Amino acid sequence: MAAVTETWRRHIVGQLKHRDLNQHHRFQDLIRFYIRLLEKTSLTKGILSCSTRQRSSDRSSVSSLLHQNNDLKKTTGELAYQVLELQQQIKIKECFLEEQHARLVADGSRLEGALDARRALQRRVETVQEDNGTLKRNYDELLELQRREEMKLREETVRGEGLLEDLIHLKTQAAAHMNSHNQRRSRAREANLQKELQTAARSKVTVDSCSSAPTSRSTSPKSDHQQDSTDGGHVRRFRSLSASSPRILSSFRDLFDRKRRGHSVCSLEEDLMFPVRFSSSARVPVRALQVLEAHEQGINAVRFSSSSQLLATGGTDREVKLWEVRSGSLTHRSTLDGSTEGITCIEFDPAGFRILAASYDKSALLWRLDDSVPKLTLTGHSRKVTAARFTGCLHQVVTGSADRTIRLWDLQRAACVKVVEVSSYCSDLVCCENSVISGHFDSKIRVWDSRALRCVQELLVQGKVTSLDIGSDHRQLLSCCRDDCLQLVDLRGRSNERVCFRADGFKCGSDSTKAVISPDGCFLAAGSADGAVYIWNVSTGNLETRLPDRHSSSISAVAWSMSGEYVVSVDKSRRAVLWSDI
Amino acid sequence: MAESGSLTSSTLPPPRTRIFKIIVIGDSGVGKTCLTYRFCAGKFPEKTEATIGVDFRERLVEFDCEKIKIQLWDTAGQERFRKSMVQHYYRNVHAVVFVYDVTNAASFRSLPAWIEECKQHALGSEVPRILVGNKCDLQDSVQVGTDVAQQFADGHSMPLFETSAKNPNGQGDGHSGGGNSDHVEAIFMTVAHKLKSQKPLVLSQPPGGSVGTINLSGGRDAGGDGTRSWGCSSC
Repeated sequence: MAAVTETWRRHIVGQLKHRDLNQHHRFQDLIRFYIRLLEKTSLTKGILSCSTRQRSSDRSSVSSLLHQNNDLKKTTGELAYQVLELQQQIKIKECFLEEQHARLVADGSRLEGALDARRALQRRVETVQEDNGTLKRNYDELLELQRREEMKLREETVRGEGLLEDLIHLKTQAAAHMNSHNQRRSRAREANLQKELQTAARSKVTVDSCSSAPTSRSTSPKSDHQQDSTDGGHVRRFRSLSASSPRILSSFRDLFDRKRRGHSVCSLEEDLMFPVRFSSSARVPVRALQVLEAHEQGINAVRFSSSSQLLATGGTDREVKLWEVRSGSLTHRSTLDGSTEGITCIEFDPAGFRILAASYDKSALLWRLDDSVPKLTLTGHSRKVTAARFTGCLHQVVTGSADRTIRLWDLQRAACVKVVEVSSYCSDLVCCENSVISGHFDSKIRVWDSRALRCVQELLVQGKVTSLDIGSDHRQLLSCCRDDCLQLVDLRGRSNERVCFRADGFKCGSDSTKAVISPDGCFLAAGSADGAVYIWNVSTGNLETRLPDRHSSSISAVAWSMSGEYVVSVDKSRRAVLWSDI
Repeated sequence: MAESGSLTSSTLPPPRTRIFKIIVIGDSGVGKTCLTYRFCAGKFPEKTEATIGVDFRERLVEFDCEKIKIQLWDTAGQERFRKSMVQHYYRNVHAVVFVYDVTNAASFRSLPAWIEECKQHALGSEVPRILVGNKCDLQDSVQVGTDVAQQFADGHSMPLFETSAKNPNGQGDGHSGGGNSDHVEAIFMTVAHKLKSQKPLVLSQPPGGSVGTINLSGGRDAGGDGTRSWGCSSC
């Protein structure tokens, strides 16, 4: 049975296949066309494809195509709209693009401008940098300069400070000098006034010594009170003065004590200390050992100390200078100042501790050798003091002056104890034991008793006496006169033998030219106006030697050391010459 | 110093002439130099520099037939220019003139320091002091009133003077009898007169001496007068 079924089935299938093959040809084109249409439809009408497919019948295909066509038209319309829109958008975009382009161009041109500016700036930077470089160099130079200037400034400041220091130092000195000057003047004034007081006191005492005491007592208590107050003020005044002032006071007290006791002015010890001058043989100098400019101005006086180790010179420059004489040369030791005018005459005290000088400032001054400030100033003369000498008494000094007086001073009281008026200018003085001998411009030499200052003798010479010197044995007196003659007078006996010494070329140069006797009394020395030192032999009366060429101006004084070894001559042009025989 | 003449021996007066040393002190720039220059040279200096150390100015005046030399010590106001010299200023000084600048209150305020310095140098009360206010011609910039200054001066018992070294005739404040004459001059003259009458004739009387009493009392009387007139001028 199954096989039968199978056979017909195969037959039927064969039949059918055959029919399919026959009929397939006829419908082939249609199917193709349809497929094409279908494809077309599905292509053009994607949206409506579903519905189209549902109505997959041929009848509905036209309508669906129509429908599709409509849809397509609609779609075309939409698309056209879209195209329009897009075209519009394109236009906008183009506009925008144009805009952008324009902007780009603008930016490009701006960029170019900026680049230009940049280049310009770069150029400027370069120039500025260059300038900076220059400036920097200048700055460095200036910095260097400034450093140098600052250094200089620092140096200058230091120097300025140094100068200021110096100036202040000088000013301090000037102030100290002014102070001491004031003090000296006030002291001089005091001394003057004291002297006046004293003179007044003395005159009262001598006139009526009994009544003067009651007079003073009878003054009212008021005056006592005043006295006290003055004492007080007076003590204050002296707190800064030197020690010499109280001495003045004590000497005043002494004065009044003595007045009460008696009339003795000199104390007893006075004669004890007068030293014995020794004479050694003098050697005639032959050559100059040393020539020096000893003072600022002319030298008026020169003197050896009794030990011959010290030399003193006094000049117009107001100073007394002390020199040490050692191994044939002079070395400056100290300067004594205090005189307000030139020095005219100097002398060492016999013991060699003090020095006395006469001055143009109308006073005589006394120094201790170790103190440059004068210990005493003796004032009272009214014109220049030409000579000041220690007398034989220890504390006494005698001075001669151009005011035609000779005054005797007590050093303990710092006061003048005697004044003698002479008729003529006194140019020089010398003292021996009991007498004072003075030389005058009226061509007279007067001999005075040294205690009473009474003229005991007058000797006439030929001219104005310029200087006197006495031999160390006090036997011979040498006078130098303006008639260019030295005269030696024998003081022994009554005869007063005289010997004159002259020489060709010797000329007495001034009113104060000083001549000396050698310590052994064998020679005389004097300086001449021609600048030469002349030395005479006393025993023969002839010129021993002439020492020329060392002085350029008139010699004002000579001195012979006590040892006989040295002679010193000084002149008006500041020069001092040490002569010796070595 | 050079302008007022150096003090060589040739210009020295005879020893009879008394010298009064008057120091002028005060702050720097108050016009000490101008004041002293005005008094000694009679004019206002063209220009001045800071005084270093001290300058000396002197003038010779004549009172009652007595010649008196007034020696003014124009001191430095700046500390660095005076440091080492102060003791010289005060040595044996006869009178002290304190100067301040009326247009500078600081210079007035430092017066006590100056007075203290004066004290430190042991200046006795007998040394006359005066107070001078300088530059009073600058009336617009006055900082120190006369009443204040007067009070201060009274407190230290000093007479007060206000003046101007530049224009001393410009005003009369009645402190001195100067009137129309040079006011600066009048001030210093007053001091000198005071000194002259105050000082006894003899500085060192012999103690216990029975003489010289007449001289002495004479001097004292004059001193009394001087003190009185001084007192008047100070108020």
